[in-house]
Amino acid sequence: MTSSLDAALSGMLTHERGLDLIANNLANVSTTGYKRAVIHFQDILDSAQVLAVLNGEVPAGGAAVTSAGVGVTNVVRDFASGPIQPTGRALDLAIAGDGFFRVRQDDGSVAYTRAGNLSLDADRRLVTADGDVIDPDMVVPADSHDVVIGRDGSVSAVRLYTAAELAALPPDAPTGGVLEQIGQITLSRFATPTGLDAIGRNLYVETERSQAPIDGAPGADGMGEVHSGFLEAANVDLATEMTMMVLTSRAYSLNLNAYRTIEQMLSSANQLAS
Amino acid sequence: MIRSLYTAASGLVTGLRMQATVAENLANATTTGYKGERAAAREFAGVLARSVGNAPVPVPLQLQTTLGRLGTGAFVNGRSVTLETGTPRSTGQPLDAMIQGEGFFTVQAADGVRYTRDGHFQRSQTNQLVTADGALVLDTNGQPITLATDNVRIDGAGQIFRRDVVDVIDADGLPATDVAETLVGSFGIVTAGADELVRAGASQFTLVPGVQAAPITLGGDSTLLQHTLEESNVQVAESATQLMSLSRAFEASQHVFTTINDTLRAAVQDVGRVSSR
Repeated sequence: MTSSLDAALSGMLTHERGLDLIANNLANVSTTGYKRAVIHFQDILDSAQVLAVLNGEVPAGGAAVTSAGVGVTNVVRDFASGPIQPTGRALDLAIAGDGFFRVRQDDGSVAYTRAGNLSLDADRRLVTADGDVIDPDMVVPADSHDVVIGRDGSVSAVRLYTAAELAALPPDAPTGGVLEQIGQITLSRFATPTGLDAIGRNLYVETERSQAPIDGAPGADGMGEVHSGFLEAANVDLATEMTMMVLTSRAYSLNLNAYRTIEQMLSSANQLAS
Repeated sequence: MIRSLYTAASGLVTGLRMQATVAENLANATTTGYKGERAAAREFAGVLARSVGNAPVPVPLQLQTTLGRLGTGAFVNGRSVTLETGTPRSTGQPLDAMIQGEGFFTVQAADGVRYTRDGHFQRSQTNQLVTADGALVLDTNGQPITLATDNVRIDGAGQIFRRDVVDVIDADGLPATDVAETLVGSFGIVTAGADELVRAGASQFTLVPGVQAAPITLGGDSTLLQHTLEESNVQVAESATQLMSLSRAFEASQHVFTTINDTLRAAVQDVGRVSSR
């Protein structure tokens, strides 16, 4: 008899989980490279009851099997590209394709991110906004400035002329410096990106389900070119999330209502004999 | 008079049982591909009431006057699945599919073939098309569907095409890219009657023993929509109304119960009591 209370309770719990995720999506609406999470529900059932029907112990017709409500099956990341927005900053990179930037974590393992708001750390290495080093290392030499990143991922910087080079220059040549390549950005892409595990700080790590990464230069093989001076905004659509939030919170209150009503019925049944 | 207590109690039990169905439906009001249930209450077989008022004792059978049928309460007779198609919700995900019209996707779960309306599919680590809880999606031949990429097109007839970007030479002799489509397989869609389906959890159904699912071809009355999921077909307003009306009916049964109980108490305690005054 309390199974109806359980069903209403499961409805409240799963929709609460749904609200948590929507809130998280909304909180990250302006997080660079954030990918929205989508929750998926399924009804849950006492499998012993199903077996009893299949074994012919209980007459079928849907009558025998009562469900225990609803549960969360999985939470999937939606890896659709977010809108690409201009920033004008040379070290802001957006990937127009399926690739991920590779960053090296403290323990040496590689994590993946779509957030390309890079900067230089104290050692003049290219790092993410959180200070994770881009893999492979790209060090901008001390005598260089004005990093330029091409669509193919080549990283160049303007190196100042040495005194000897300056002396050797023709008299009317510009003396600013010379553009020299200092590195090459490598991207990784996954056969099943939805299998990636989000570890926070906009980072993802590979799992068995995502399969091993396919590495390559930007522009090659579905990887997508990198666009310097642009950032990929979160792929959270405010209208969608707000709609889902209203829907989920309504579903929550309906279940709460069902819980209260059934609880009242049970409590008045309790008082019958008094 | 004792019998009427049981009759009133059957109303209470039925109310709670019916409410369980409403609670389950409401819990799954946002579950993809969920099919709501309807509980049907039925009257217990009644008895024929006869008058024995002025008859001599013992009562000769032919002297009894038939008064009519006496109801003895209600019970939940059965729950049936409602198969109306839920509202389509666009998700933009290439592996989300919905059957508009009748039909079920065939999937291979751990303990046998199951049927589902939940078309929220993914690729497994072995590149096979699976449901959200990992059951293999089967094609028209009952075989798993293998996909190397999420870049697919699914047409209205349930055929899945892999889309590959290929380099071609255009009419002017210049290199260009084009999309080549390769047929990977077709969803195995079957149909079954509402009374043949048994809930198996995880938004899946199985069939009652001895019943075979009938394969159907999509493209006619039923079509397949890609990038779309089917919302639960639970009518929230209807369920909320049922919740209230069932609760009121329960209260009514409770009043009947209390009234009969009070009458019985009066009969037991007061009838024949000699006044102390």
